[in-house]
Amino acid sequence: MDFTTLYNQLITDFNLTNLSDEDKKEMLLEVSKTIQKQFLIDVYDNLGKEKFDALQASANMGEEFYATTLKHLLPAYEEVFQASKMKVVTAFNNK
Amino acid sequence: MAQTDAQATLVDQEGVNQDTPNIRSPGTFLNTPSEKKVVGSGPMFVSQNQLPKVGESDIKLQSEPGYKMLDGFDIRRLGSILAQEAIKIGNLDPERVTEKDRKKVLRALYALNPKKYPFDIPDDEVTLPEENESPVETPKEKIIAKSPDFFKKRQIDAIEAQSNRGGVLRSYKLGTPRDVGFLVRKEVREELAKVEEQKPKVDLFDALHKPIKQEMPSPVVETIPQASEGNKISIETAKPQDKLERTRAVAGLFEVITKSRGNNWMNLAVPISFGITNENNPHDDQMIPQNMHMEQIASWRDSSRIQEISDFIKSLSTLTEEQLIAKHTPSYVTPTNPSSWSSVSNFSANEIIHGGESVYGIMSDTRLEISTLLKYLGTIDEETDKLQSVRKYIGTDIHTYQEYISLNPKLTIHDYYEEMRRRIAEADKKENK
Repeated sequence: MDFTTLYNQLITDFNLTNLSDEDKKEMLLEVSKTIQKQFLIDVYDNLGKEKFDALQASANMGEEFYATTLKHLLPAYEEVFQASKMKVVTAFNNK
Repeated sequence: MAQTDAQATLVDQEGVNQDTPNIRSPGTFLNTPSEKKVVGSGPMFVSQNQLPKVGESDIKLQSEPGYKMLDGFDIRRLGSILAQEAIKIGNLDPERVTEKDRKKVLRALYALNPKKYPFDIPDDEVTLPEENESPVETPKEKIIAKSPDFFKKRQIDAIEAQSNRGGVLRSYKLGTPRDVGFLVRKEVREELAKVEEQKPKVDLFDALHKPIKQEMPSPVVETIPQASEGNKISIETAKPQDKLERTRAVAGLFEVITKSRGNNWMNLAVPISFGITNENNPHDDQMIPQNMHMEQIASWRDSSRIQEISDFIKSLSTLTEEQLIAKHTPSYVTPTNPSSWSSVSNFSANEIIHGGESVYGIMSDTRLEISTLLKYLGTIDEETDKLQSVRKYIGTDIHTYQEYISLNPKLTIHDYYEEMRRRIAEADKKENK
């Protein structure tokens, strides 16, 4: 895993290069939250209420349960996450 | 005058009645209409049958104000009889004649001939209770009114006029059957009820507590490529009525995820976190995701998740071609024989994979090792292709490194090695921009 690449990717996508390191981390946290929320919204739309409730129940049991359930309910979860991230990036850059 | 006619009628019908001296007066006998003006000049009699004596009356009114007893006769009974005569003349509705009407008749008779009709009833002494509605309120109406049909028609006309004005229908006080007005009102109420039913019903609670429902555009359908199977999945955005429910559900799950992963940007920037610590992470030593292999987040290097591929990438960047071939094909390369690695370097990549004349003499283990070397190079080729300005695995018929090698049969191991080194440098350069 290259976390430096991930860091640089997000900094580039959201045009945070000129910020200080502290501000970068703060911004990255907010950006990550937004991406995660958008991902969950897309997951809800994909799964529907009942399955999403099941996913939430698994999350209450722990991250591993959540991951297993997510993979089972939505095998293409990575692609969905990428689409969600792109939505956020697009919205951010079009602001 | 109606009173005059009443008097004449009485006289004509009853004639002289010697048995009723108390009310007999020396008035004039009126025979013709022209003689009506000569009132009070002839005999005037009231039938004894119509004027019962005291004791025969049902109600005695001696104590009632405004009435006088006439020689022991029940004035009220007398007034009733006279009123009936007036009704006959005026075609009034007998059911709606009131005590007030009777008194009017009596007063008219008294004015006509006080001696004959000594019913002196001053207006200020009238204290009898009046009925609710008087059918004859003005002398003019008395004269005009001719029959119950007149009132009925007048009532209906009034109702129609009110209806045409759009006002509230009420029963007309004159006349006849109030049921007419009631029925009309009933019909109007039914029509109004139908109109009310057709109106959209608004729940006050909903109007106050729920947001205004607006017309929303049709749901947007997005397609996301499914890389593994080449299929597509569709994501349909929630319907407006589901948005609130979705927001709550998402907020609930997000809270759980935030609690379990902490406020760490890397944990939240990935779909799944397994909570491992990355010792090499220069930016954050908190919990980090394990499966960070997405194309647009992880680098092309991270996309090669297999450890041996990662090691190969590292060795490709640091070792020379001779050292690389000697490391990955130990069964063929003799360290003391430089030609051994160069011969491997000159093998056709296509013949190594698909077989060919040049590879017939080499051992199967050696061929497997060289194939593995090509596999590593091919993996790098595919991964770095995503960052190349000119891509060869997208939009063409080439989808794998095997296909690429098959389409380039003269491609040697050396050529592929050099190509991969160049592509790695280009990918890293673009990624670090």
